[in-house]
Amino acid sequence: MGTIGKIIGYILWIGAGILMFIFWLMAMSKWLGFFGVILSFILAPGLVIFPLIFWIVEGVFPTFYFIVWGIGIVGLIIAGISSKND
Amino acid sequence: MDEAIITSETPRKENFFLGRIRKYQVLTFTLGFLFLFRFAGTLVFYFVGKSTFIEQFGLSIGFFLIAIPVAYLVQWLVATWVASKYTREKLKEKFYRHPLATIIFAVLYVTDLPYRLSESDLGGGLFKMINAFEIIIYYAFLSFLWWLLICWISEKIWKKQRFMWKWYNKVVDKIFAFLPPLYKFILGLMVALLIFLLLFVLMAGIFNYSGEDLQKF
Repeated sequence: MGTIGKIIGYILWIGAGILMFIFWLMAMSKWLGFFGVILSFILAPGLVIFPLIFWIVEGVFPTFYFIVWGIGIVGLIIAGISSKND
Repeated sequence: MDEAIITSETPRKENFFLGRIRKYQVLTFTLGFLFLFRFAGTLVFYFVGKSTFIEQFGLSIGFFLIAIPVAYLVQWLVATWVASKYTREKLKEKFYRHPLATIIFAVLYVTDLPYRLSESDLGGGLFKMINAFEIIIYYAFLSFLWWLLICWISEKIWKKQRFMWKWYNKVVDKIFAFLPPLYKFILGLMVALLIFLLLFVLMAGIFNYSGEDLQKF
């Protein structure tokens, strides 16, 4: 049971991370074109301050980004609980 | 004189259901997930006004509320009872002993499965994936029961093992090694996708999400 819990948790966590990165990649590519795509890989830690930049530049709060972030945290909690049960 | 304190500790008998849940966790999780998916999904569709099998078969909602939990409970009892009869090693030996029956049943299962899937209304998207998964495991379980019956008849007729192939034993070993983690991964993936979908819908509802940020791309 712990194994399935860990699988579920990690899929949610990694899946949310990938979606957040795609969001970041698309925004960077829109703002800076091909250079933005390359930069998005180099500046991956920019994920932390990215929502704030997106909000300032686009004038829209990145709700999708935060929803996915929240789901990722839920996944991490599931994985953590499942690891303790092992 | 030393005083000896004798405590009489009789081992407490574990509850039947709890014992089985603890012993067959993956089986319980699978059927629990499928039950919740079917039960909650049908209820939501019913109250939203979409067509469900309740209307299709002319059943009442009261019948559904009782019949579905009972049906899944019976399935769980049967599945855990069958599982309790065989350990991993015992089952492996059975596979080794009956190569012909195993190969014939495997071929029949693989060739017949597409027809079984095409016969059913699977829906779309993630629901299609879960409905297909349910059909695949139910059909696999039924085929397994038929295979057990054939093996039992075969053992009664031929007392000694007639065929023994090394390549076949290796394939059985490989399947026994790869199938359990693969099954857990597929089950985990489906549950994760469903949780993702439900949480997303829930949070989108709470925050009145309109998708405005995604429209910027």
